[in-house]
Amino acid sequence: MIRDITLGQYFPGDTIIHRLDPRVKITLTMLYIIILFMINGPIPYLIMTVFLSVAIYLSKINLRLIFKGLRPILILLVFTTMLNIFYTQGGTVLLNIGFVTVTTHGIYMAFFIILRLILLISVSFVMLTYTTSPIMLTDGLESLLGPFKKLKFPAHELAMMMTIALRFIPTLMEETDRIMSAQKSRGADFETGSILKRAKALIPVLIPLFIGAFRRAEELAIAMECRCYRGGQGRTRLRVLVLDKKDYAVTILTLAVFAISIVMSYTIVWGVITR
Amino acid sequence: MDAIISVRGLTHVYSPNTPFEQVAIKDINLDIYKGEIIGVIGHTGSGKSTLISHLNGLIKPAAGTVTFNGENIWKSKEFTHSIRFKVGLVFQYPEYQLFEETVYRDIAFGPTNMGLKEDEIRGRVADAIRFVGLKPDILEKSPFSLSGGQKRRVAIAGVIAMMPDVLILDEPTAGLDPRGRADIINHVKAYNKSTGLSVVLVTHNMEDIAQTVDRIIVLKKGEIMMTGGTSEVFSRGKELEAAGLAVPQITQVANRLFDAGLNISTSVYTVEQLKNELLSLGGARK
Repeated sequence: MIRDITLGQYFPGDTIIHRLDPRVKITLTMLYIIILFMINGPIPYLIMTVFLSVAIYLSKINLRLIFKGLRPILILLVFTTMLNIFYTQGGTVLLNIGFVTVTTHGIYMAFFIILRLILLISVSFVMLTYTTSPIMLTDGLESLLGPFKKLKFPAHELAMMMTIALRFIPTLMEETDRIMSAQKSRGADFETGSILKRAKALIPVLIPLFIGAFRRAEELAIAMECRCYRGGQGRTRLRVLVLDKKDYAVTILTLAVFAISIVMSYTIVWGVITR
Repeated sequence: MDAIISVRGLTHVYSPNTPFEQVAIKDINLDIYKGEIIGVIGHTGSGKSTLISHLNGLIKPAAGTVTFNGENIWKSKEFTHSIRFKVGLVFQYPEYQLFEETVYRDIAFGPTNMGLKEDEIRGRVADAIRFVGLKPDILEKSPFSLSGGQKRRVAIAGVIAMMPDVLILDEPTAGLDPRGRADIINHVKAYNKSTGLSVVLVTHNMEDIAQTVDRIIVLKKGEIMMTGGTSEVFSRGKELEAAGLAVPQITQVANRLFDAGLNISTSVYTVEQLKNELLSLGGARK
């Protein structure tokens, strides 16, 4: 059922990962992703994998949830593997059927590309969506984008829009579910027929859904105006983000791990991958 | 008399094996007979909506069975699909599901999905709109230009037009003014009388229940807490209050009079019944 989709889902908890300052989490996650594309060689990848595994362990997030989060990109993963295996040449030839040639180098490349993608997706799930509440996430983002306000960048408005969008994902999902059930009760069939027929079958769902979304938007706008919302200017916060000892400790530790991975990638020659 | 819908040992769990796991309903047994009006009451989150979604095959039971005229509604895909037309389900705030350009086409959506002929559909739409008490000139209007109460009735007509054997209404009067409420309840009652179909009325409005139903099922935390005739259930006001529900206002009055020392029955639920109780009391005093 549609409600089982975990997109943008937050799992409340009280672990060190949950308690970290969102700004630290956002920055380190972005850095992690950048580093993933800079390193090469088995040991640096091992370090990054172990690092993420420790984070997952600390966050007490069920591994199954992470696999569930990876499921939507399964096709992408398979496709990338194919491309890399078939189009990367070099190393020992393992298989040769017609124009298809599989080499050790190809398999090696495919393995690391996949690992990279999996790490990339999992890190954003574990560090951001699963362990950070949407409010903390947008607060952190607004704070990080704060310096750009001087350049007339609407950081607050952007954060507010994100908060609202995130807030309405579950609501709209639920509404979709309800409308689908209602139309199914009138004999609508979403599961059989050609793609065209199925797309047409969605009209009775999409129209009420859009109308509902506009209605909600209008109601929300009125509610915000009733409480004198005027944008970010002069607005104070209930929860002010403050970095404490654990945030500094985690940052330093993480940066050290990143540094080691990079140094190892560029000083040691890893046989096959560097040719 | 054979039950038209039978529910046995029905259990449903939402989001199994996740931190959000929640037992919605547990081991429900229930029979719905031909021609009766049943009320299902329960506090928010007591499993009312989950239960009714099982009755027309929207949710597959995790455990237990739902049968229609003795046949398991999940015996084949086609049968499950056909059940949707025989067990008409009107969701809460059904006006939010209207989508067509005209009222006519929206009401015709269900009958069209049944594969009926154009003439037949035309007749059914005309009947349905009459049953919910709207004028035929509304048919060519856009459903979005109607008032809230009219939209609700159009949505109910959309289910009635499928001519189901069982009509399930989830909170049909929520958010309507007293006039709109009475209209809907009266039309449902009249429809039940004239066609002899079964009606399941889900609500937490005790006044609606008191005026309409033959039999009540009370749900509490996903289980059937009590079931019985209307007066029987309402005479157990204390238990209902413990489940977060109230008895109809007139029953509350009767309870207060009883507590004040008048020897009357507390199982009354209409003004008429209380009046008779009080008159008989006067007669006894003479």
